[in-house]
Amino acid sequence: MSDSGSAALSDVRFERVTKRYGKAVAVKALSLAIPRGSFFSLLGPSGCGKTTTLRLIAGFETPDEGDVFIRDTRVTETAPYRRDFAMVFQNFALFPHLTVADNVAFGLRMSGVAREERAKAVEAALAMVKLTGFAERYPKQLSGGQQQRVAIARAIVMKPAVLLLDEPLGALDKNLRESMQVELRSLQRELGLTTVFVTHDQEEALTMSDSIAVMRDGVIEQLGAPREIYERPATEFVATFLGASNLIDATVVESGNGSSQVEATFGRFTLAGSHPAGERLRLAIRPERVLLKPGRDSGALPAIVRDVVYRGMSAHVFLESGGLPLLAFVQNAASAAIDWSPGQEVGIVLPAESLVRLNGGAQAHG
Amino acid sequence: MASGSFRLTRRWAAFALVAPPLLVFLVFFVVPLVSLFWVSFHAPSQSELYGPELTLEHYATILTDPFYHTIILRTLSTGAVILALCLVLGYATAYVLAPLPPRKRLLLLLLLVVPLMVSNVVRAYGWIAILGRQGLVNAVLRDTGLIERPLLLLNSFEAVSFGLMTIMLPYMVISVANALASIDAQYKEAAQSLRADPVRTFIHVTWPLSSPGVASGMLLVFLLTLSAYVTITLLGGPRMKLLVSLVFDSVGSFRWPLAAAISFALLVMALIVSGLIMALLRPQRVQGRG
Amino acid sequence: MDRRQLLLGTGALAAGGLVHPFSGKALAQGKPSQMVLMTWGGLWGDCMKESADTAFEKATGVKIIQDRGSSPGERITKIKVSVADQKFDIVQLHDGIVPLAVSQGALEPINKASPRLTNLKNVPERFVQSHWIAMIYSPLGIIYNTKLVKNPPKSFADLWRPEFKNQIVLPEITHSIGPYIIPIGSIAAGKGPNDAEAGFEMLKKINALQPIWAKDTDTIMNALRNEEAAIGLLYKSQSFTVKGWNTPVEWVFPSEGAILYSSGTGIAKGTKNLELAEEYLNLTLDPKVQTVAAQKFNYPGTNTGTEAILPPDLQARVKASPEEMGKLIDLDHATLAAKRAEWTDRWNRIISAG
Repeated sequence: MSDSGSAALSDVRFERVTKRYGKAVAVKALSLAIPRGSFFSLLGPSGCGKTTTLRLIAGFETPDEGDVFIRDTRVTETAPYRRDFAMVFQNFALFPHLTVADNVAFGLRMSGVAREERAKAVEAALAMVKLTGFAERYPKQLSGGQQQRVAIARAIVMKPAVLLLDEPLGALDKNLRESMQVELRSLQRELGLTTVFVTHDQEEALTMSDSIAVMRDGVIEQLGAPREIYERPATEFVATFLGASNLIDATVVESGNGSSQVEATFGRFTLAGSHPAGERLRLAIRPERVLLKPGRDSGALPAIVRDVVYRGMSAHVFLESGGLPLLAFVQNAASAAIDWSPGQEVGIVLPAESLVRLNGGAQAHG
Repeated sequence: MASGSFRLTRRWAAFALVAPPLLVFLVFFVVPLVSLFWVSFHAPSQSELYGPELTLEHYATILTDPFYHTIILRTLSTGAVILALCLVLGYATAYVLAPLPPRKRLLLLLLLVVPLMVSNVVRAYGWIAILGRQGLVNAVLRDTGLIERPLLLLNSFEAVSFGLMTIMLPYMVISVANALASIDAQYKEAAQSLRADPVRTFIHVTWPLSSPGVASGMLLVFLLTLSAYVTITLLGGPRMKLLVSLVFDSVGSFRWPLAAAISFALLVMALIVSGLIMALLRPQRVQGRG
Repeated sequence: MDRRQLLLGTGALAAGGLVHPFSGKALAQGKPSQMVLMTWGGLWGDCMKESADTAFEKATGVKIIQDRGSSPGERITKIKVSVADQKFDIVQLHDGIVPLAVSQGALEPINKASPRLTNLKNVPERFVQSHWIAMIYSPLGIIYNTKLVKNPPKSFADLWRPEFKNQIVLPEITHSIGPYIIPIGSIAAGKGPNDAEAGFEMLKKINALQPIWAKDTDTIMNALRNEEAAIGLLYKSQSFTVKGWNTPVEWVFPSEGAILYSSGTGIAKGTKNLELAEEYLNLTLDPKVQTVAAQKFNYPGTNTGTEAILPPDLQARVKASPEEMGKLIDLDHATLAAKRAEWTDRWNRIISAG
């Protein structure tokens, strides 16, 4: 990439990597650098190229164009078993014929680590994933969560340059998954392991990552810290794939003093930043940033409540304004705060700093 | 009380369900085997199935007679050679077939099975046409001037082993190919991600995970080898008799008790070798039970 | 009609059937609709069907069903197994297995005075045994390929000539005439047919010549046909078949004498149709029936009248001079049968243990 300083500190680097399967392009001219010690997530729907990207790092796939680097060593054509990585597979891929200890020791054994040293490392790794005492069991005798920990232990015991995680939590139930997220993250921090995490679960990506690359059709749509990705989505795809977003098409009416007045079907409101008058914009605002006011307040835009879904911590209020459906999340800060009913006329406020301008301009129809 | 009688009915229902197969097993397997065992302890008789006196002479003959030792050893070595050939050739073939798309693999496996649809007798005669004194091999060798008199290729250890091997090979290929095809590709990738090169991936992952298929293939091959008769008779002739030929010869000379005793010797050999195969391959380890 | 009446009615009908003197059942006891003949399948069975079976049906109105599926040994076992309620009536066996059939009690003794055995008076005594009468016979001698063998063999002893190494075809021990190699060996050693020790010594010697051991007669003939073998043991009758394949072979009546092979018929122990079985047995000795076998297989018939009614060319084939008839060797089949197990074992030890 252009910034050679950050490249020196990256554990994984792609330079214009393209991978095709027949005519289909799985990864398109992808360049990226994953900083040392970071937890990096590849997020996107199935078929977006995230798994292919991971497999290109592992060497299970070879790029058609471009180069792959691990710790500044070019590994584009290097066989997987000569690359410095470890991987946790989607279904764990624990060897059923080996005990937990033998599974964890496998990589060390293949690397020629002496028996005694191996035993120590295995013990330490098992302790790290809280599986001391399970060494002589077979994978079949373990629960899903325990198998997951064995898979993690088997990977981290290798002290790899990069740890690859291929949707490793997908096979677990919700509660276990949330606790494993926390554990995995703290383990990663403790070991300072550069980690590449593939997931289609946006919440998981937001919870765990230092940075997220949102992928679509073989390219990265947006790359950044979780907060940046969530709060300043660059495209409509990112805005809707990560959480919910209200999409509003608007036209700039006037501009000045670092802010602009824009007009949408339901009325006028203010947008941060100067824009040339007459420009058509596509805007996004998160539902939790939409403010509701009882009645028709001056300065608020008119809307009608169509439906209210009570969710405990919050309520989802479905609104309609100027023919455009809008969604607002209201915190259950006080009973009155969520006391809305269908058919009620309300005013909505779209705070200027919460409105995000998306790339690509407005479409002909909202 | 109601639940008690219900439980009773259920037990009867379960019994009724297993009774027919159990009965078939008893009548057609256990009873004949037991009666055969009983026969094997009797003196022979010219007019009856067996004479009235009880004797251990048949087992003593099998255990002490050098002639029987020669034949048993020959039977075991034939089995060993066939097992080794089937293992190497069958595994290699299966290894090539396994990664193919299921439809293509099935088609090729079916192609392998086609020879099994031809009677062993016909196939043995096929080998005779190839290996006989006037067979293809000898004809070619003679026409090219390499030999003057035909070579004795038939009636030899090699002819029997090779002929049987060609019959057994498909069984090995099918069971190994199925085992290999059912191994999740992730295991191989996992091994590679843990620094195992292709050779060590094979030794430490693919081979053990395919061991149930290898074991069932080897058991099939060995047991079918022990019980093969037509091929042995046609390709081996009287010079290459195996234990099963002696069963036939004993029956042909009305020594049913000796035939029964040799049959049990065969059964014991089958059990011992099966046990050895299982002990060496440990197919149960794939189930995660040591 | 209610149910009770119906039951009574059918009961009466059934009872009537049993006592009625002219009911089908009563008739069947006197004369069955069919009888079972156990014999060889293939051409031989067809030959019997065409000759004896058809003649029998015509004469008696009883149909002959052939049981072709079993070997001679199995035929004996089958008769033994069903002796309490005999399903079989007539059985054909070759000479070698008759002592076994007799010792196993599978055959009815033949009543030589029976008025139904009208052909018996024309059958020489050597073909008539207590429980069995030969129908056809053939001398067993030497066959050789005239192109491959420059110095024609004259005696059984010539089979042991070293020049025939790898080229001799012999029946193996499981063949019905397999054990004959022992008396033949004994004869070749100049000890007559009954010196088993001399016979086994000769077996060792011929084994060193790597003979082709054939499991059946077809294999012997095929080995000669495709010139795998240059010389071997074969019946005179079958030598014509090989000649018919345009193979240059000659059959030799050995100077020591040829072995007599015969095949014939017995009556199954406990048959329900003894008299009819005797009638069938008599038919197998009929010159007209034996002529069919001669035409198809070149087997001379055992009835002395058979030869006379054959066409001249066939007569020439099956004819045996009185001198040759005198030199036909009757083997001691009782001893051969008794020794079969022991000899099989000894044979195996010599041939298979190598």
